[in-house]
Amino acid sequence: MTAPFETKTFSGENWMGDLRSRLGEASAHDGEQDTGDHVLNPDLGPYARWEGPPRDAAVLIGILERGDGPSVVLTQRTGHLKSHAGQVAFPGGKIDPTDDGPIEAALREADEEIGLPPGHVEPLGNLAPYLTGSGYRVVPVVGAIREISSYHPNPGEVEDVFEVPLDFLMNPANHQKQSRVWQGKRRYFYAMPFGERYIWGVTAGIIRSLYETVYR
Amino acid sequence: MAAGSADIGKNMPEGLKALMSRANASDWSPPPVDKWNPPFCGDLDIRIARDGTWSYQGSPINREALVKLFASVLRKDDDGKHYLVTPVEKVGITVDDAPLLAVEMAVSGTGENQVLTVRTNLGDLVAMGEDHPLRFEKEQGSDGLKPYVQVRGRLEARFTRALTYQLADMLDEHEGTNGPELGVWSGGRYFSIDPDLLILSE
Repeated sequence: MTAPFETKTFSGENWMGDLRSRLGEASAHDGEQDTGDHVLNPDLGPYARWEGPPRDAAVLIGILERGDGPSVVLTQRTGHLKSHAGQVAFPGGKIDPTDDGPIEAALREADEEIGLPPGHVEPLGNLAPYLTGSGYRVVPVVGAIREISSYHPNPGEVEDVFEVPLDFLMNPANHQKQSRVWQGKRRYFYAMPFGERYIWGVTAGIIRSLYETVYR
Repeated sequence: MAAGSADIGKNMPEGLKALMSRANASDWSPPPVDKWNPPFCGDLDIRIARDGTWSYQGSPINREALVKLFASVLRKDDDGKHYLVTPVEKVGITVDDAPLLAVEMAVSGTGENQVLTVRTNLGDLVAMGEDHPLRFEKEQGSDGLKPYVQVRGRLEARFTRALTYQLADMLDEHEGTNGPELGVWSGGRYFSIDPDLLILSE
């Protein structure tokens, strides 16, 4: 891969340390600056399609190294038929009252959904909460997967687990801004098609947030 | 000139000829094409056009009983190609889009209990749901959508334009993992349209 100008990649051996320090700096400087679907749609505001208090959720941006550069773990959700690919999403879900915050919730959900033992993940830091139009306040937890075993997707929730190179996701050329008319208004969202996998909406927005927080 | 069954039969593989002789049999039931695994015998110049009409060596096959008979031994394999299959032979044919057309739709129930049943140009009746999923494709060169329903095996029926409009009127919003999706309920399933199919050309 050639870089037309100075392009920072995370392929170096110390990607884990780099990510940790950049996430630390970002949270120290920006505090809790929210991001979300509304960033591309300022006229709609946060939680555009939800009335009532926001619902707390957490996702795991799990990163692992198989020897050819770090990759990010994503899931394809069940709920659609095999002939129609389900939504691409990070492992994650609502924060339960019994969870000790977003990190525990993200690790618990990753364990339940893809069989990733919490002890195999080393949390590196959090991104700013991502506010979805559907009323969720999602804390993305960035974690290094230290021990790689096979995934055990829970068929009720996850159809497939796959990995996408971090360098692909952190390349702004792959961040498409797409739009469609929704209820008479043009709405914008990010999309990052990766082969057959169509990454869009909230998941693409969280990836964009990782890029803006750590990379840019 | 339209090909009669006698003309069509002349150069046909034997197994298909035998089938054709039974085209009007009253005790006929759908053959178990999925269980047959005959050798591939090359391609036959049979084509199913976009409008669902069948032709043999360039001439339309107008006899409906014969078209239905061929359709009953039509199979789409995992190589994406269409074959006519008998217990002893398998011949490739050309399908321009989908081999069947969905020409009529009946709606029962509402919301998540809604069931959409379509009729194909060859008389199949399928209720869309887990066994007969609906999928959408983008029409080349326009922002239009092409819906397809799985009828049997991998065989699909494409919605006619008129039926596509009828389906489009029934699309509704569903809050998905990544944002609002547009789709339709049938048979306890929500069939959504990938948003990349709804992107407007700018």
